[in-house]
Parts: sequence; structure tokens; C-alpha cells
Amino acid sequence: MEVLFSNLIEYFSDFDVRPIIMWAIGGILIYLAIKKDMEPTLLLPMGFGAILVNIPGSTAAAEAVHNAIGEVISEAGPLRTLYEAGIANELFPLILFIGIGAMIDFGPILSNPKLMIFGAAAQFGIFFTFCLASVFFPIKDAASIGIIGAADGPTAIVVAQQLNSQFVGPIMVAAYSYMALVPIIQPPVIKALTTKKERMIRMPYKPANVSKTTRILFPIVITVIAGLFAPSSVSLVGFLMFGNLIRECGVLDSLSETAQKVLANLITIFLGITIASQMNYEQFLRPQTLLILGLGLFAFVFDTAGGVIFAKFLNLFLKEKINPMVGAAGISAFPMAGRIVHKMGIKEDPQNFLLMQSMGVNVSGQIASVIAGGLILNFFM
Amino acid sequence: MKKLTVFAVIAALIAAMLALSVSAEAEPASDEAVFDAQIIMATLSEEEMATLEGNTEAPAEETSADTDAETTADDTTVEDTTAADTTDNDTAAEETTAEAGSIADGLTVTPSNFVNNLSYMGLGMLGIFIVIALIMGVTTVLNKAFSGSKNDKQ
Repeated sequence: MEVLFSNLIEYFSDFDVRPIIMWAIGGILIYLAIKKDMEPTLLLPMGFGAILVNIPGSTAAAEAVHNAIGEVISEAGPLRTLYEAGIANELFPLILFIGIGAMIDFGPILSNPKLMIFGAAAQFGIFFTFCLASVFFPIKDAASIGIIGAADGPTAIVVAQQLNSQFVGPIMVAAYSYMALVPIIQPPVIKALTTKKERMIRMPYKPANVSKTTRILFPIVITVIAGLFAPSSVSLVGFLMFGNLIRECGVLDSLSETAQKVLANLITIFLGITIASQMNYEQFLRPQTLLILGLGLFAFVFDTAGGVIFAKFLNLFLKEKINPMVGAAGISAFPMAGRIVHKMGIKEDPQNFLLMQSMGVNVSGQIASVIAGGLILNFFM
Repeated sequence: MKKLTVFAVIAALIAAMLALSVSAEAEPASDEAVFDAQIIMATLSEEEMATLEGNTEAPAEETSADTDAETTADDTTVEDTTAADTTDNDTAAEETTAEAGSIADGLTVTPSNFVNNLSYMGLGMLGIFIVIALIMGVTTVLNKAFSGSKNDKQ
């Protein structure tokens, strides 16, 4: 009989409340995913995985044990195996980027390339948060925390792994949680930095024809340019643009559809539950985690502020004014940030349609965030 | 209501973690750490002992078989193991600097780093703007070069 309850006896004899706290955190993530529909594709697997790895005696994320001569005594747990196979070598996020690239339509930004500049401005939060994080953390960890501001899960995973950050778990939870919270984070920041009159600025959309040749050459050219300036970003940009090229070439419809749906969903399942292997209570429940969550919020706020303030700055010199809210769409949380700006524009002026401009800026933010990740790797790797 | 619920959930999460970090007490030193401290204490000279007793802060020192090699130096410091916060018998060595202060286990505050790293912020933003400006230029050229083909429009 004792054998049946040995795990429970062992746990209660040396009672630790921390696994229970992690179960609660996992439950909260699952609740947010299901009830509030906040990034359910990632928060639900992460929440469940957090519960899985924090059950006392759980071997789901156990590392392999070797004896003195290197023979395996016990195998690694499945989450550990998946982690080594796809996260430690950044493979899963890069493959996911193929799917994301296949989903993105660069048409709005190709028809109005000037709006790309806001994608650059909205990466301000990454570097500002890095500076702030460096007050508390070593420089590579600070850079990994700053990249939460990229608002892009794969980029954050790749950068944190390549910089060997010890805070991959909290960084992932922060990145994906705040991406889901963009509809709550951005509006107050935008309203604080703009006047009603500015929010009502109309931006007539003049669609320009974009040739198929341009759509095909664009991903190739971006990869070369980004790679020349930030070689560390070649894998990130390259996989994203490869996915887009599959979409735009017109001769690989089945591959494009597979990349957008099956591949993206499959990798998302593995990514979510594998990231949870970093949510062991010993690694996660530390004061540093709380600080990282706070700094992540900071990054998103300053990303939004950077885009809006840059748009206001440009308006000083432009005759045809830009609605500053469009700058906030440069954050890489695609497509939420674009939709939020459009909704805020409609709310202020029901005739003001900012969707195409905001989605174009949102897409350029995706490119800019990947370039920012590459620059961070260039600086600190 | 939805916003309030989400904020309440996040606030509860943060409060739980804060409570955990604040209520975490220093665990008593492991037997190994105490034993190493005794070895170090036994090898110190009277002068070094006197200096040591005058120290109010001592950084944590890595517990290993080689710690006695470090005791011969004049600036040897020994952690007060009764107050040490050891985690799983691993105590990482941390140097105390004139600038850094410690606010929690493994968390130091170095305010000057913010200013020191502003250059990375400048370089990073400049780099992104340069790359994006280049992409904008190339895109404009591509649009102009291939806009003439009637069969190519989408």
C-alpha cells in the first residue's frame, strides 16, 4: 500500500507550496486562454505544461541521468527531449516562422513603403527596456529581456537561447502573455500621448498596384539586406521570408496552405508545451521573474510610445498629417495591433478607416522586430 | 468588466509572487558550507581573523574543495554561513562592487549600467532605421521597375 502513496507521502513530509503556486499559474494561463480567448494556441499548452512539470516527482521534464562512464541510467523526460530537439537549437521557432511568413500579406506595405518607418520606431521599447534591465541583470540576460518588446515569440525564443539566458521560461511567458494583452496595454498609452484631434486625423488610402514580380522579389531582397547588416538575423529573416516566398510565388499553393495551417499548428503545439518545461517552480518562482514580467510590460508600453511619438514628430514637418495612432501599430503583435488602431480610429470618427495603413505598419513591425533581434545578437553574441 | 477581470487575475498573480519572494527566509547553511567555513577559519592568521571580525558584509563564496587556496590572500572574505541563503548546496560566487547593491538573492542593482548601455540603444535604433530605410528604398525601386507590366498586376 505504501508504494501507491509513496510519492504523496514524500511530498507532504517535505511540504513545499511552490508547486501549488505553479499549478495556480498554469490554471490562470488556461483560464485566460479558454475564457478570455487570449492567445489560446500558446497559453493553453503553456498552462497545462506548467502543471505537468510541477507535479511532485514528475519526470516529464527530467534530464537524462548518466553514470560515470557515460551510460544512460534513466532517459530524459519527453518535454526535455522536445526541448533539446527544438528549443535549445531554436529549430521550432524558426520553422514556425515559415508558417507565419506564409500567412503574411505584404501588399499594404508594398503599396505604401513609407509607412515601414513606423515599424522601426515601434521597436524603441526593446532597447529602452534592455538599458533598464541591465541595471538588474547581466548584459546578456538584459538583452534577452529587452527582446520581449519585439512582441514576437519566435524572435524572443531564438535570441534568449542564443544568448544562453537563464530566464527563457519567464521571458516566454511574458512575451506571449503581453502579446495577448496588447488590446489592453496599447489603448491607454495611445490616448495618453495623443489628443482627440490627432486621433481623428484621416488618412485616405490610395491603393497602388503591386506587381507579382515585386511580391516575389521582396522577400529575397529583404533577406539579403537584413543579412548583410545583421548576419545573426539571417535565420530569423530568412525563414520568415521563405514562408512568404512560398505564398507569393503562385506555384506552391499546397505548400503554402500546409505551412499556414498544418505546419504552424503542429509547431505551435510542440512549442507551447515544451516552453512549459522551463516553468519548473525552482526556476520560475524567483524575484527575477516578477521583475521580468514588469520589464516586459515596460517594453510593450515604450514600443507603443515610440511609434506614436515618432509619428507626432514627423507631423511637425509633413503637410499631409499622419494619424499618430498608426505609429502604435508598428509593434509586432500581428494582427492585433493593427486592428486595435483601426478600432480606435473608428471610435473617434466612424468614417475614418485606418485598417490598411495600420495593417501595413503592423506587418513592417514584424520585419523590424526580426531585424532588431538580429542586431541584439550581433551586439552581444 | 472583462478588463477588470484580466487586471484582477494579473494583480493576483503578481501579489502571489511578491508574497512568495518577500516571505522567503534564508535557509540554514548546509553542512558542507559550515564545514568549509570551519576549514577557512582554521587557516586564518590572528590578524586576518581580527580583520574578518570587523567586516559587516561578506560576499558569498563558492563552496568547493579548493576554497582553502583562497584563504591565503589578504583580502579573503568568508561568508557568514549562518546567514547565507544556500539553494541546493550551490552557492555562486558574487563579487561586491562599489556600485552594485543587492536587493534579493541573485539580484543586484547597478544604476550606472543604464547610462553605460544607452550607446547600444542609440546604435540599435540607428541600425533598424538604416535597414528599414534601405528596404523602403529598394521597395520603391521595385515598384517603379515592375509597375509597367500589365499582365503582372495583382
